[in-house]
Amino acid sequence: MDHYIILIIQVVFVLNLILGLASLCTWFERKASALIQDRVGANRAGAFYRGDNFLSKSASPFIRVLGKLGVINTLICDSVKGIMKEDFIPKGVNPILHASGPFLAALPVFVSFAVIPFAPDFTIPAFTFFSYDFGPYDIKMQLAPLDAGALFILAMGSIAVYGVAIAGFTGNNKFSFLGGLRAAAQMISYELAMGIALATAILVYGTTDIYAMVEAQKTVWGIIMMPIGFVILFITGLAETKRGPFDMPESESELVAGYFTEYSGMKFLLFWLGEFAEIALFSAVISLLFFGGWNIPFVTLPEGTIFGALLGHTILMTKIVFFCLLQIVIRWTIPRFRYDQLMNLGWKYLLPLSLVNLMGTAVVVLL
Amino acid sequence: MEIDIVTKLSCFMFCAGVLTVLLRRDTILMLVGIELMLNAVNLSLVGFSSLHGELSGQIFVFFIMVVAAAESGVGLAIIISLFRAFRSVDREAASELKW
Amino acid sequence: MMNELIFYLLAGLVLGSSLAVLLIPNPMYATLSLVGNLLAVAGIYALLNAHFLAVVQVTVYAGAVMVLVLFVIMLINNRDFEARIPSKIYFFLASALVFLFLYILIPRLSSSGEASNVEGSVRSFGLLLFQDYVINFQIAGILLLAAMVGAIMIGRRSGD
Repeated sequence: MDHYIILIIQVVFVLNLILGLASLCTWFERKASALIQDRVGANRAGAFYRGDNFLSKSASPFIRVLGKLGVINTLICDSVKGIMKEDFIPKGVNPILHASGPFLAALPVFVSFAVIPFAPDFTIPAFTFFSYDFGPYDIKMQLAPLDAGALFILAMGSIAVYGVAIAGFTGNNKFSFLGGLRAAAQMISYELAMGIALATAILVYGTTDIYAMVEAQKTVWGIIMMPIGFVILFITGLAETKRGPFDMPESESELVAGYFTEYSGMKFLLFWLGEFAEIALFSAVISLLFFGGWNIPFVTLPEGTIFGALLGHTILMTKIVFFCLLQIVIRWTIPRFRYDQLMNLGWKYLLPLSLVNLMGTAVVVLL
Repeated sequence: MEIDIVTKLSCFMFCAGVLTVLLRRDTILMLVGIELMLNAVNLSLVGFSSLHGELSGQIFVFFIMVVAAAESGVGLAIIISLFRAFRSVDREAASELKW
Repeated sequence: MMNELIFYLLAGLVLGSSLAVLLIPNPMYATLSLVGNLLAVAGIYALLNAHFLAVVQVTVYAGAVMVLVLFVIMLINNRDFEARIPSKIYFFLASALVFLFLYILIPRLSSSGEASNVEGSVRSFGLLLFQDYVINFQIAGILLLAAMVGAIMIGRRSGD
């Protein structure tokens, strides 16, 4: 009974974390893209707020600052606008299929967060609260401490292809169909190189459990052991999330809007939420596998205490936020690939490179 | 968990697969029926592997999946060739060898 | 108790989606029902302690093979023929024969018993695969290569 309650608390925590990260990425995308492109971006909503009673007067400096930064605009105005828009379904399309497109694109991302550890394990010592005895609890900050955690993330990446393909197909026009097919082909091609790069990481750490991989990086970070693997995983992760220089499927100047042309309102926002959550997922994977998770060189965290868990969580979150922001900056800095260049890169360069990397790493591990 | 129910489940899936291959007119759906049959066999193998505590059953399932992936790839290529030849994926359309 | 509940839920999904593959006329929905079937069976694998197989099933079978089938269905959108199952008599006769045959024959061959704990983790699976079955593994690799080359050769246009 107790551990169900702890599980529910953990689920709420992780869900808050994902949505918080996705919101942060959304806001940063708007503001950073504006600053990179030498314009100001959204700064009007709530920027001139003046209160007239005591409560709103004391809150108004904060609201003005948030408004100037464009936070209110992105987080509140866009969401309300998206919820209140008319939900448009093109004619002659099955409404269930149409609705399941964004669902299948966003669900695997949220499920993958179940195998990501957010803090080192800690124990809550026994305490009594209003004469109820709560025993000592061993809490793992992983919703599902699976043995095959890294492979589970790969499996969920495979499911995400369905959302894109179905979304493109149910648009019932040639543009979104083409965008959907291209997106699905791109995702499948880069999944291969990503799988082999993950296999390299599994080879070096000797386990597929993500928690054990982070524990194995106490002395030296993963990136020092496999630099090429990091580069490959980063590039393929960018291609999987259809971000960065690989956003051919949603190339706004060419294909109307790509595979989500026929979606409006909350379904469209669900696609975007799934995409930003995937950015967060992928940053989490990179920082857990290659950058030590919650380990910093020359610092040992106090094991098993709540303070150590909090400290580890903060360190991990810093790394994840850094990689999220890095991906967003990369997207707005580098021009996108043409489709044949993209496929060329995936099949002719990254796949042989990842295979050679795997063989080289296997040789080095054996010695 | 009793293994009987896993066997019966696999049996049902296999029946559904056989009937799909027999009764559907679309060749792609016949391929889907074949995949369903292979999946049913996989399920029963995993069930028996769990019953006897032997891991070899799961290894066998792994190789069956490999073979299923290979044959579905080749099968789809054949279906595409059929479509180019007859402009239809109806199984009644490819009837030039009939008397 | 939770185990049993999840197992019955997944078993219901398997049954429902198998029937859906058989009965739904539209090919795209039938394929998507098969995807649901594969995912439910992957869940049953996880319950039966075959963790590596569950993940491989989702990645390879549901995630790659069925996407290919879906692509082919989406690209070949020319369906002038009726996709219904032909006349009801054949349907009932065939179903009765198949179900009777399998349901009477198969349960007499199986042995009933409780599920014992087989170690289906990635490590033990990999050890067995690469120690006892390494030749089969290499042959499977060659088979995949042959299938890939064969599919490309068959799928080419005849002018190349």
